[in-house]
Amino acid sequence: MRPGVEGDAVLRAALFILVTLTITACSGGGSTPAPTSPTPPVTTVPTTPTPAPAPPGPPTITITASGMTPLEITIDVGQRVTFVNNDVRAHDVVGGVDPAHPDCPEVLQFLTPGQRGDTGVFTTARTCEYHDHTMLGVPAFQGRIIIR
Amino acid sequence: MTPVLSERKRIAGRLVVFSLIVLAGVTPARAQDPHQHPSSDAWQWGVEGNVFAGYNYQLRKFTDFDEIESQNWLMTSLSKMWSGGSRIQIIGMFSFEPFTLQDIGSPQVFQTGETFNGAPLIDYQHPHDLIMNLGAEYSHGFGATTVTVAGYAVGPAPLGPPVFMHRPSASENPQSPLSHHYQDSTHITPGVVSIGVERAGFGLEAGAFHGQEPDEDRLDLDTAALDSYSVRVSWADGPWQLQASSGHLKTPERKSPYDETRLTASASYFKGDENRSTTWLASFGQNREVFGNLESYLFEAQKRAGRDAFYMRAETTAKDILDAGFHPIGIAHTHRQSQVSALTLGYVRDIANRSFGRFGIGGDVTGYLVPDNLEESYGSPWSFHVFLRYHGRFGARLDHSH
Repeated sequence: MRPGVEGDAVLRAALFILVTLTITACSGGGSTPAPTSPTPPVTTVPTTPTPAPAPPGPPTITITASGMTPLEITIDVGQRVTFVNNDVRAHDVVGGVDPAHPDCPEVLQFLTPGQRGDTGVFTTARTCEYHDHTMLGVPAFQGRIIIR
Repeated sequence: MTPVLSERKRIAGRLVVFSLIVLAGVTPARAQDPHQHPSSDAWQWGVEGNVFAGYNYQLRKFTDFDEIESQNWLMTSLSKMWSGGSRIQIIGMFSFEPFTLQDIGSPQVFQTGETFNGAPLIDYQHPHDLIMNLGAEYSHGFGATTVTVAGYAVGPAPLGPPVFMHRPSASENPQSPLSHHYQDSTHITPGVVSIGVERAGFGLEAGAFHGQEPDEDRLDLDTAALDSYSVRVSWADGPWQLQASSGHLKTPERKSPYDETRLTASASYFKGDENRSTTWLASFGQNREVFGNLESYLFEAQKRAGRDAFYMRAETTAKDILDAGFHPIGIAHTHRQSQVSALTLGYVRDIANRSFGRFGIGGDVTGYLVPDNLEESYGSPWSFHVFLRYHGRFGARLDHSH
């Protein structure tokens, strides 16, 4: 192949890929994941009687782009709460209804996408308000933990 | 933004970008000297564009991110020079990133600045507005002294080093610096008036502008009061450029009621031509906020030898990611700082060089030093990019000095 022809072929291929990639980008062709819980391990058919279910973990509050779920949760004294970030961006959960009223130091969770984090142990019965520091004033990102 | 509007934007974007690339491909070659400057009497036009299109992979501790995306800009100018030493230049600069990046932006670990859906952006680089620059500059020579006045609906405030996308030392790197919002983020300021005096390589500029960052609507023109100001002194001689600048920014963050003072200084070097060059930039930026002083240091370099270009960027930046939320007046507190460092190494090889532009293929890898207070959330992340790059220029050479 002559150099000039070869160069044109390379150019056509580059132009094609550039246009394709750019248009794919325009069409939102990315595959940024909405983080999900870790993929469960593949299970095999048990050959022995099913063991007793493991004791339940701490109550969980899930964070998505639309807010916290549930916004209100009731736990027992001595328990923790787990926050799970299922959004594609970081969230910052802080105790207190807003920054002007800090409360409940057990709640302080900076969570990147896919991260889960436990609060400290709640040792006294009370109601803990909390808010997402990155979404100040948005009701869907303000909640409460009732400790009884 | 509603999904319907977002989809309309993407369809429009596809058409615009496709048309742009096709137009670039069919534009007849113009054998103009790329170094030419406008001559007297005639209006001169100039167009320059840069497109990165590729794959961005972010290796994270909990969830990896990957995206096919394009960073791009198109700069146009119309200029006229008079024999008496006067010159006018009308500038328009556009980016199609509102269509070629996600609405939230390009995934980039530890990047901060601007907002999305009312929340501060963390780990994303925002798309640039469709209209990045729109304005005019008028210069007049008085002997060896040149005075320039400029007015922009959107444009560069006289603050900071040249913006990364116009720096020779960053021209092959698709990523924004992590220190962007500490040093050169005012290149897309909504509303700027400035005046500058230059003599024997020494320059002094002062400007008034709107200090708040652009809003989340990437397709509109933001208009607001000129409530901020800055001053920059500079010196240029041969391959060397130095600048120091300071500005007072009125409530730069959209949902924070606090002002900021920014200090920057930089030194840069460029020697060579489009085919063989050595260039680097060292810069410093500090944001003085009610939450504390946040500093950044950057060094980047690029070596071009024919069809091959090697680039690197090393920077260390104090981020307040852990307290990035907004604070009403009266309840500000000192933010926890995290000193994040990053090193990028990259390579681009030109695969075609035509009269309408250069096509290259390249890639880079970035490693990070993560401070203890971010270790639990970030671990040891890595970033990877592979991309095709197009750079084209037609007509008169554009001035990227601001």
